[in-house]
Amino acid sequence: MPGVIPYEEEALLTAIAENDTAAYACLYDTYYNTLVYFSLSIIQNQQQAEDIATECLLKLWQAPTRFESTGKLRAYLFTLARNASLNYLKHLRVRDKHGPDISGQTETDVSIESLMVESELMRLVYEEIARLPEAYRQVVELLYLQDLPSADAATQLGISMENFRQRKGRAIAALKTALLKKGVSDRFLSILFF
Amino acid sequence: MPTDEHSLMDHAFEENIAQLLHRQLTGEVLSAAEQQELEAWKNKSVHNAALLQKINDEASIHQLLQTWHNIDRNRAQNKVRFLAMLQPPVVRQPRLRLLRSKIFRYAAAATLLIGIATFYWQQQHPNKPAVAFRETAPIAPGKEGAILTLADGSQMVLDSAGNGLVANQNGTRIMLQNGQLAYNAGGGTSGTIAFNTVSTPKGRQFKLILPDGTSVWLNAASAITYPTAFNGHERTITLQGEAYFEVATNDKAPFKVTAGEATTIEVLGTSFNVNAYTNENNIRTTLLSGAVRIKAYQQTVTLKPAQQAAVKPSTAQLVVHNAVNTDQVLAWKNGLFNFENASLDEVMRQLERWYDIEVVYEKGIPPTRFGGEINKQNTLQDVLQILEGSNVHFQLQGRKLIVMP
Repeated sequence: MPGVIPYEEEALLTAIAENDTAAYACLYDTYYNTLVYFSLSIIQNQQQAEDIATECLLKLWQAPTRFESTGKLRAYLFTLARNASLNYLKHLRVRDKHGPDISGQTETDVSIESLMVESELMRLVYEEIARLPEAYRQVVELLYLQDLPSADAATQLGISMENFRQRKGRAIAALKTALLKKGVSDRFLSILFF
Repeated sequence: MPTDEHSLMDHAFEENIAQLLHRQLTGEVLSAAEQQELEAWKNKSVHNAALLQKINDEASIHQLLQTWHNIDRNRAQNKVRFLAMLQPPVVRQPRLRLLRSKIFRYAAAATLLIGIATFYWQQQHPNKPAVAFRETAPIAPGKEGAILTLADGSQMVLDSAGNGLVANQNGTRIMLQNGQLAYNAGGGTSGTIAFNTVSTPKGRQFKLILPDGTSVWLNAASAITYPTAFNGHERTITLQGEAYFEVATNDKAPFKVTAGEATTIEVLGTSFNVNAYTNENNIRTTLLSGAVRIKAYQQTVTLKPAQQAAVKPSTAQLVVHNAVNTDQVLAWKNGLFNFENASLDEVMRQLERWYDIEVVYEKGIPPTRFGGEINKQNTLQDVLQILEGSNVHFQLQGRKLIVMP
């Protein structure tokens, strides 16, 4: 997960207005996951949410605008994503007029602000995991994020169960040290491992 | 720009709240003012209160993170798709036309301008591999050929050009016919057993017939060592790399293939493929017909046709796969690449061996999977062009292939 924007705010905003492809790659790295997460929370369909996020970024490319701040830029992208998601739900309801409301949500149920907080929070938490050393990150990813049983995770990493248990132990220890350095308790650790 | 109320806000507030929640979640103690801010936010709507409750429950935050993870897994692939959709901005036509219509000699200047613009564009956008590899001289596919190493260490190049007697080893005549090597025991009883090795470099494959009549197809970057006459109770050969065997039946002398340090394949009369490249994770033996017994790391399994035994040296494990796609396993021998559900690095290792190239990854190995078959007689450039349909990009520097996401 890329977290750092290699651009100064002003330079990025200018590069976006000038259709600089490198700036759009950076824009993608920064906002794609959050936009998909946001849209997915509204429409409950990952593939569709991925398309919506991509289309939002593409719209900007097709009609490039010079924003005053990255905050404004973000607001613009989220507004596009919200509108596209709600349109999609409307379309679903039309298609499904005679059946039950399969979306399980009505427009008024969706709180945009609260969802924005949630997707931004998930980005920050996920970055903690992405920052772990590779060998430990793999353990967390397989066990926790992909929910694999230990035996399968060990097979996937091509190591023995014994080796895997050791690595998991070391991952927990490394996380503890890393988090303690930041002056953080191991509450986060308990979230990750149980 | 959308015209509703959202375009006027910048959501700095939401970002700030997310940061507070994140710090709280990772165990930081918030200041009184910050706690108050969170409390105010929570009381602002039922949705906020619900979110706070959600992230205080470990099971539900686990689920939220899994959702994020599933999104992240598709990110790289969708990014390639997204970047491919960004059409380069058009060079402003009207201005060029104006220059041309004004004075004729400006035409030259305009051409120069386009040239500079193009150069500048390419400098700015070095990730345009479609042009890069297509402009390179074609890299030809591999062909038949091998090197024969005799018992005394002398070597000779085998290719389709020369037919006839190659060597005479302790009474066994070695003949080259139509690009394939055959041993002819010639009736004479020999004294000592001599060992020969046939090896293929990258970009060559070869077929030979062993002294007992067994046919061996040797894939690129492989080697097989065998006696020039099989006199004992066993017919033992060693293999590096990949080969397909059609073993001549002989109940009295089982045929044995040793691959890697710990794997032995015992055969009675049968056809099977062994892939034992050291840069693959497993030594894979796939049975086409008959029966073979695999021994590795104190384990023994007997394969039935269409089963595959995978020996993993790194973990000293032996696993049997059922109903293997044997067409895919044998594609190399039948002049094809079969990339069905193959990962990018699997595909690249096959190309390395056949086109004698070196593959490097600019930014890790993209998680792309492929499908379909490609004729091995294509040039490398043709194959790359086909693969680019799956959203990977390539550049060539001599025989170095650079893979870009």
